[in-house]
Amino acid sequence: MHCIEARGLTKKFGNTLALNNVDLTVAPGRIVGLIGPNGAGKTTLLKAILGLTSFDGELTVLGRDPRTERDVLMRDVCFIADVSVLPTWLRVSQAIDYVEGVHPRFNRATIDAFLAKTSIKRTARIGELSKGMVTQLHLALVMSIEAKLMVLDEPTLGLDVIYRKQFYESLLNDYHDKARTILITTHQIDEIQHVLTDVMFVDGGRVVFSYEADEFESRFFELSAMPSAVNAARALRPIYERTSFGRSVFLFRDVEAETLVALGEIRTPSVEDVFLAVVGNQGYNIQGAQP
Amino acid sequence: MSQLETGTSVVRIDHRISLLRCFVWSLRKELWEHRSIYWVPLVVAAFVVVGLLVAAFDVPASLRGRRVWGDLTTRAPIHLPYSVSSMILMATMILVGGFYCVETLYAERRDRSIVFWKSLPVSDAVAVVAKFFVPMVVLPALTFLIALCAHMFMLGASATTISMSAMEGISVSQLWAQLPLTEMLVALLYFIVATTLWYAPVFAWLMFISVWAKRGAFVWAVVPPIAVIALERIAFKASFFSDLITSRLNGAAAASFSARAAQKFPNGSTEPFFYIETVPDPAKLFSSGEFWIGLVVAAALLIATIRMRRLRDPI
Repeated sequence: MHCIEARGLTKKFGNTLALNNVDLTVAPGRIVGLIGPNGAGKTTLLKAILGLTSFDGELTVLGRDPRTERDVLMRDVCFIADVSVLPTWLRVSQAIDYVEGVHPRFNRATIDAFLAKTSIKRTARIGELSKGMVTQLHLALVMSIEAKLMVLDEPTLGLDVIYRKQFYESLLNDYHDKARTILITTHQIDEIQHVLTDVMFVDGGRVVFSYEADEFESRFFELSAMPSAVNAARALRPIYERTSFGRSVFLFRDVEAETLVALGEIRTPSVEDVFLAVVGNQGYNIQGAQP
Repeated sequence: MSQLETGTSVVRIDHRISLLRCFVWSLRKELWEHRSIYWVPLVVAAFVVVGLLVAAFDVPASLRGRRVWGDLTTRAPIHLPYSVSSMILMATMILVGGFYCVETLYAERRDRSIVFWKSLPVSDAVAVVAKFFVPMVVLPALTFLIALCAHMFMLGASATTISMSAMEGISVSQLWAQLPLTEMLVALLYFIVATTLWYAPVFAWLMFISVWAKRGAFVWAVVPPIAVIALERIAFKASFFSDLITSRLNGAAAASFSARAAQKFPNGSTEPFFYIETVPDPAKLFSSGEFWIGLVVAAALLIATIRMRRLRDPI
């Protein structure tokens, strides 16, 4: 059984298509990164998966319809879909007690370990915590739920680099221990690219491109072409071209490495480069891009 | 590191959480959030107690007046502090309940916490019913307890002022004789329950507005009924809807109590003394169509509220 299966997922806000006929399949045990510019439809897609919004089309999550079975689904799903949703009047200890009270898969030992690494006081009201601390607390609550599917929308927004590193480390450890599926969006692509097993680029309400992380190095190459080989490189239909230190740099998808080696130096691009090439190229004027 | 190796060390916590447990935690959460549910009645109770304390000093004179004025005139002053304090506490109960209802589902969208609550396996039905429990059960129970304590306090204070009084011919036993305590408490409990059930559609309406309104929930709760009343009065010179509303807001006592003629033979006199007493009349309440229609409307509004919360976003 697929963890998430969507067919023709569509969602309109007025005249805007937030989701445009999205087909999506996520197998169990994957760590999927949804990457896309603001307004691409990532959050709407996640909200549909979590039963937080209505939509047209077919969608099953862990074999259930999120529209009608949200409460049952949430026994096996944990998520952060929005920053600062913890109510200010709630005390830290109350938040923990409540989640433990209603969630069958909550593990108090895990959250104790998480909070020990922070300076969050249990007697404090959430309104008294700093923004970063609230995010830490929310992450700690979510990470303490041993769910089959974990959905994280911009989970580390507003956290310092030390905590972000710690977080992704524990996310990975946890993943290896419990074999769960994780769906994650972030703007800080470089930080999560080593964590992901699958990457999906989302733009204009559709999944425009997806690949498995394992095949990234064999599918994408960046070529720093020799001046004499620029035209030959262009003939191979690069997906992106820019100039760097006077040399033309091309990004290729699904072109054999052997072909490219003859034209200059090749290396593996960063996910960010590929993202900009695939998504950014279409509507954005990227610095250094050739017309 | 293989899956097998680590897999065995994982303790699977997979007990199911009962509906009741979800409900209790949801209710507890409401009390954490809306502390006015118990603070306002307690503050009002404090004022009531001060009032009762002052009233207790009049009790000896009232008792003494009995000889002069006869049964009817003295019964009222002796009873008055008890019934007035009950009325004040019940009015508080309705007001706090009403404000809570119009606020609760609106507040969770305004502070965006609805997204957090929805990330947990609590159904919208459990969440909404737990909220409805506050005006329907929590506040009435609290009100009865507070009224009970206030009455006990009044009795103690009255007994003290009587025994300290220099007046002749009065005793604490006269006080007991004039106050049918059990009857009073049963009537109070009945009145609280009847009023709460009578108000159920009002509370449900306010909760429906609370989940529906994008802004100004209170205005939306009040303005439409006023608009309908204005329309029917001006355009049709009718008062059907306004009678309906008036009876709903003001008719709980009339629907649940009956007035009847009674007679007594005060002080062993052979001359009967006639008066009118108001007694609980559950048969009247339960045979009232308006009562049952109210409950049906409340149930319908509650179901609409549950369905609407399912797709509600933060504001």
